[in-house]
Amino acid sequence: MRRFSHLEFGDRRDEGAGKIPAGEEIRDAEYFHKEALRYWLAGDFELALRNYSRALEQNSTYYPGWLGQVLMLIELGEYKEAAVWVDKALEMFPEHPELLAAKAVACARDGRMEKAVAYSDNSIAKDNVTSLVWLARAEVLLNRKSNIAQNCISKAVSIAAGEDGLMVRLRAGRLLNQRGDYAAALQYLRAVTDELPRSALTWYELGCCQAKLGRPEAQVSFEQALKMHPDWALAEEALRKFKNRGFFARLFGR
Amino acid sequence: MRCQQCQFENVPGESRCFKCGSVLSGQSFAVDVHPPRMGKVARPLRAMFRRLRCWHVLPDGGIQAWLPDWLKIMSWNAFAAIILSIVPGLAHLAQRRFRQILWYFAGWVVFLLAGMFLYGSNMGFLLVGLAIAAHAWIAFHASLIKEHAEAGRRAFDIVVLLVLLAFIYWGVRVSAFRDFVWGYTTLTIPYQSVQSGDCLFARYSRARVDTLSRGSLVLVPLRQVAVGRANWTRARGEMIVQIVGLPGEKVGISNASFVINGKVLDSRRFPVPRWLLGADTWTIVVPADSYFVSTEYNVRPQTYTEAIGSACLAGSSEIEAKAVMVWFPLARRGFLRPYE
Repeated sequence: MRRFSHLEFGDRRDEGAGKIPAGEEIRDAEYFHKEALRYWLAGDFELALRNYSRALEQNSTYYPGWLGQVLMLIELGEYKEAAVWVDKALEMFPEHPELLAAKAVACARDGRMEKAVAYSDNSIAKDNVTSLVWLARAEVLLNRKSNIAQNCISKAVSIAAGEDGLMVRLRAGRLLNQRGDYAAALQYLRAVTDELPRSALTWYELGCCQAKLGRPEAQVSFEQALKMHPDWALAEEALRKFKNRGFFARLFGR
Repeated sequence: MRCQQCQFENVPGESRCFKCGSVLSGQSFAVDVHPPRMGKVARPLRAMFRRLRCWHVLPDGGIQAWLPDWLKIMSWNAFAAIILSIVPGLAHLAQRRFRQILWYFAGWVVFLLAGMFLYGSNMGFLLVGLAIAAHAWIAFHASLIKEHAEAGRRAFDIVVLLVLLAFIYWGVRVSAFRDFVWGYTTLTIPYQSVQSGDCLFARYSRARVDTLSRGSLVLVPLRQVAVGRANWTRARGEMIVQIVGLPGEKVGISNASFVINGKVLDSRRFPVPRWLLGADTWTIVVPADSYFVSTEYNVRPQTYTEAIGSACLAGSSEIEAKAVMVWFPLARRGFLRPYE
């Protein structure tokens, strides 16, 4: 390396400006959004959140970035922060149904059911209701042990299409898994793993579901998740527990 | 400048949409895009408070994660709901879905009240059993109905809950009503509207606190009555009997009436048992720490005399409870009248 190789000269800089090396993607908000989705599917919510922030650094009016940040904060269990952040996002995108739905989910998971129901009611009353809004509605209703939650999930899945449909089915499967409807969750998660075989999160959720139902395939699912995302503490712990489950857990299939 | 959210065409140069207020794309401005984060210390504290605030809406984890695998037969939420369901409907009330079990709760209240009203009879026991069943169903409905989908598992849960609740009811009965006891009498006392075979409600504490006066109906364990070579045993272990003679008094019978220290008692108030009616004239002095009590025995009239001392004298320490009301039959239910 020569002594002055890092010095910048006006003419050289001008030549380089605007030129993008071949094969490298433009690192705009869309790029970081895709990266965030990739990390989310890998089960790394912290990195996904960081990528959403970077997407917003590129374009602070990029709506998926704001929504993604809120969803990642919810995934990380930081419900109060998610509620604060969704308020900030709502300043920029007032009365946006998805943001209202995200706030409903944050409130519901934080145990503030009255607020959750109010925000969910508000979001569902808007015109352009998306599948995310229906899923949030389903989560709020599941918390209230309502039997019509399943209808909301079906509605969410039916209105989502294409790649978005996969994500919605994954979210629906995770939701049902968390709320204890393992048989229904298994159907969604199996369909998603067929479509997204390289997603560690999907394999992990499928494994959890199978473990709860006492199925031996859970071990393979956890191992697949670890293959996609090595040293993932959550999957490692789940696999260890599944392998070491006791006599009664095996007997009762739990 | 078209708004991406509501598609409204705004005047160029505007930073926010005139219709919906959204930030218009291309109007990027300096804004903090890094969300606030939760401190590591706050995480367990918040989780704890969240669990306390709304335990029933949270997914499993936390405490259940500490349990060994063989104990994870039911989730922590289900366990907590069952604990709350010791008071019927409390878990549903906490979950704000009390309306779902409103009729079961009403049934439980009706069965329990009716069972308490008829307690001591077969119908009373049946009603208390139904109350326990309604209670078990409410507890099952609070948590396990969604958790265990298989019919066999559900039936097992209900049976386990029934047994547990039966123990709890028995414990409540023993601890809360330890002062109360039911006893039967063989006497027919017109003054008290008491007939032979009636069930009377007695209290242990009254026998210790109240002065036992003549005419009081008390619960005593009847001793074995031995007459000659024939051994007459009591029909029941404990019986409600009437105090006729107080300590130190001289008790006898004359013209089918008790005579106390030469004074004849009213036979409507102090009826003489049949087994004493065919006797010769007799007199007995009641010892200082005893009472002369009257009750019916299946003793032949010819052989009673030697039995009077052992059958009709009850020591002060033997008197367990004092009857306060007629419990069964329902037609005669009411408090006993005091003797002047």
